[in-house]
Amino acid sequence: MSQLPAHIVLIEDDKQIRRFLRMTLEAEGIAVSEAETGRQGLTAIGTRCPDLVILDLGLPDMDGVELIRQLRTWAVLPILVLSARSEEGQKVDALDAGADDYLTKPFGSSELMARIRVHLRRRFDNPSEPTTPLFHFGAVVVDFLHRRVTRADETVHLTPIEYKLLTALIRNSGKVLTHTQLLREVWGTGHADRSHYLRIYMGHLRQKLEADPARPAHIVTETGVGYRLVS
Amino acid sequence: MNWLQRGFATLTGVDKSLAGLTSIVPPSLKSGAPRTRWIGFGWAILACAFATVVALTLRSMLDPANLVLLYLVAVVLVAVRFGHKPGILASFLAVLAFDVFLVPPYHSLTVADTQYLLTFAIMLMVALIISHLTANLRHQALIAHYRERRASALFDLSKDLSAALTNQQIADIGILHLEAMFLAKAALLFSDRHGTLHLPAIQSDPSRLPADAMLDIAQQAHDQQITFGLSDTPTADNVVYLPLRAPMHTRGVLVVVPENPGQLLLPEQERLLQTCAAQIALAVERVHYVEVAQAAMVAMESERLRNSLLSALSHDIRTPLTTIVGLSSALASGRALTDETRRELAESLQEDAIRLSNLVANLLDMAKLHAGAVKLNRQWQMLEEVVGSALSMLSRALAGRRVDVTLPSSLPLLDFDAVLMERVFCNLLDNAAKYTDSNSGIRIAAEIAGGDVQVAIEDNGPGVPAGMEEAIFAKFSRGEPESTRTGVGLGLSICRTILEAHGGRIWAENRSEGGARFVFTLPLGHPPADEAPDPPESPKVDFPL
Repeated sequence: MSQLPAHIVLIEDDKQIRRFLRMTLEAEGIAVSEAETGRQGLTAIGTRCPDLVILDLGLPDMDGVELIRQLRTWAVLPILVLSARSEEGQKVDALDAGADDYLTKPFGSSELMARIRVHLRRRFDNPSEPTTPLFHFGAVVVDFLHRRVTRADETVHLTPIEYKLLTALIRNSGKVLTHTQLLREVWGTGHADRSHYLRIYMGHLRQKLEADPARPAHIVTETGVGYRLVS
Repeated sequence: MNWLQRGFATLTGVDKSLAGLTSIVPPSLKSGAPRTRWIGFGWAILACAFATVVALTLRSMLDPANLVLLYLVAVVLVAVRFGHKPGILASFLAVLAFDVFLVPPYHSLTVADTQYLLTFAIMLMVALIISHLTANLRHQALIAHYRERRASALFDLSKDLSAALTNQQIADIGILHLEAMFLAKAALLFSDRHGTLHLPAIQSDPSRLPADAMLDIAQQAHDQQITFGLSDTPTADNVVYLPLRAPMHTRGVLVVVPENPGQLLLPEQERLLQTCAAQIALAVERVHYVEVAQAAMVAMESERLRNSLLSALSHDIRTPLTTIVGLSSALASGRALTDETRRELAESLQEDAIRLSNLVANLLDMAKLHAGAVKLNRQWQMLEEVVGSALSMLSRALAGRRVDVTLPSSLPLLDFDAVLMERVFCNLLDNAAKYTDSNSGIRIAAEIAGGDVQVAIEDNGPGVPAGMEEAIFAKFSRGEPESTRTGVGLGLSICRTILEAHGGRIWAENRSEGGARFVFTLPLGHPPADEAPDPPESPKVDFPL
C-alpha cells in the first residue's frame, strides 16, 4: 500500500498500547503524536491539526465520550475509538457523540490499519462530493443518477425505504452507523425507539443484495451497536 | 358379643369416664373429687336397696343362699363404677340388708339359725374381696389409659419434632404439645454459640414471654445443667426450668409454668416432662447439625469450584503464556532468524494471545453473569443477523469448515439481547470447531416448535460422551477432562445462563448418524407489528451528487 502522508494523534493512557500503536503506524509511514490524557490530547489536536484521532475511551482525567462531544464542536476529523468488549453501550454513546468507528480490544495491526485506511481515504477523497454517480460494492452497482440498483447486472427493485437506507449506508461507507443514527436518517426523528423496523429492512436489503444473507459480506452487523457498509 | 361388651361397658362406665379425659394429668388418681365420692355412696345405697327389692319378690321362691348372689352383683357394679370406698359401703350394706330382709326372723337383726352367721361372714368377705378387686381393676384401667396417653403424646411430639427444620418450628411444636399435655404454659429459650439464652425472635403472644427474672434463673439452669422447679429443687413460683441437654451441648432451656401448682411434682409427670425436654433437645441438635452439614456442603461446592478454576487457570493460562514468553524471547534475542521463522513465531504468538484473550473474555462473562451485573438489553431482533455476526467473528476458528445455515424465512422477530445471544452462537460454534476435523461440516437450523423457536447446531464430531449430556453444562466441566483442547469448560455454562435469563432452555444430544447436536429454545413472544411506517417525506431522496 502506498504510504499515507498522514498525521495521527493518539490518546491512550497505557504505555504498552501506545508503543504498539506507534510502531504499527510509523511502520506505515504515518506520523504519530502521543497524548496520555484527554487534556493533552485536546491540546495536541488543536496545535497539530491531525488527519485522524485514535482515542481510548477509558482515560484517567476525563470521560472519552465527553471528549468526543467537545472535539465535535470544532473539529470534523475522523475519530477512531478503542474500547473493551462487552461495553456496547459505551461504544454506541461514543458513536452517537460523533466518533466514526471503534476497535474492540484486543485487536491486530491489520485490523487497525484497515480501519485507519478507510477513514483516511474518506477524509482525503472528501466523500461528501463523490466524483461519480456510481457506487460499487461486491456485485452491486448503485446508480444515484437514475436511482437504479443492479446486482450482477440484474436490476434489483428496492422500496423507497430500502433505497433510502442503502444510500444512508453508502454515504457513510466504511463507517459504523448506530441504530439511532440510521433511524434518524431514514425515518426522521421520533422513531429512534423503533429499532426493529431497521432490522426488518436491513434483512430485506440483505435478501436482495447479499449472496448469502445469513453471512453478509457487505451489509455487516455490528452486534449491539449498529451497521456498517463494507465495500 | 359386641352388644354384651357395650352393655357391660355402659353399666360400669369405665370407657365413658376414660374417654372424657383429654389431659394426661390424672386428677383423680390419688383421691377422687369429694362430689363423685358422695355420688358413689349414694349409688351404693341405691344398688343395695334395688337388690333388696328384687330379692323380696323372689324370697318365697328361692333359698336365701341364692339371693346372696344378687347383692354380690350390686357390690361388683358399685365397685367397678365408683371405686373402693363405695364398694366397701355396698358390701356392708348388702350383709345388713340380707340379714334384715331375707334371713328369718324378718325385719330384725337377730338370726334364728346360727349357721347364717357363717353365711354373713363369708358374704362380707367375698363382697369386700370382689369390691377390692374390681376397684383395683378400675384403677389399673385408668393407669393403663394414662400410660397409653403419655406414650402416644410422646410419640406425637417426637413425630412432629422429626419434621421440624428450624428452631422456630421446634419451639412452636414443643410449646403446642407441652401445653396440651401438662395443662401449663411453656416457653423454649435457645442458647447461642456462647451459651447465652435468648428470647424467641418471633412470638405471636407477648404475654407468653418469660419475665426477665425467669430468664436469669433459666440461664442458671442452662449453665449449671440443673433442673429447677421439680421435687428436688423447688422454685418459689412453681415454675419448672429444664435444660435442653443434647449429646453434644446444652441447647437451651424449657420453661414450664403449670396452671395447677404442684401437679408436675408427681414422679411420673416429672419423668414425662424430662423425656419431652430430651426429645426437644435432640431435635434442636439435629437441626443444628443439619445446618452445619449444609454449610459444609456449600463450602465444599465453592471449594470445588475454586479448585477447578485454579487448575483450569493454571493449565489454560500458563500454557499459552509459556509459549508467548518463549516465542517472544526467541524474537527478541536478536539471533539471525530467517524471515520464514520470524513469521511463524509471530503467528504462533498471535494464536496464543488470542486464545488467552478468549479465555479471559469467557471468565469475565461468567463472573458478570453470575454477579447479576448483566442486565438484558432485550430488543426485537432477527436471528439471522446474530448468526451472521457470530459466523464472521469466528471466521478464523471456523476456517475451512462448511457451515450450512437453514433459517426459515417465516421466522418472526425474537426478543433477546443480541450481544449475549451472539455469545451463545460463538460458544457453540467454537465448540463445534474445537471438537471436529477442520474439513467437517457444521449445520445451524431453526424451526418453530410450539411457543418457542428451536435452534440446533450440529456437527460431525465425536459427539458428547454418553451420560455427560447434562454434566457438560456445569461450570468448569469438560467432555474429556484430560483433553489437550484448550478451554476451561465455561462456554456451555455461559450459554445456559444466558438462555435461562431469556426464558429459554439448552440441551445437548448425540445425533444418530454421529456427532453432537446442541439445541436451544427461545420463547416466541408477541413481536411488534412488522411493517414500518413510510418515511415522513416523499420517497425522493436527496443525496449529494
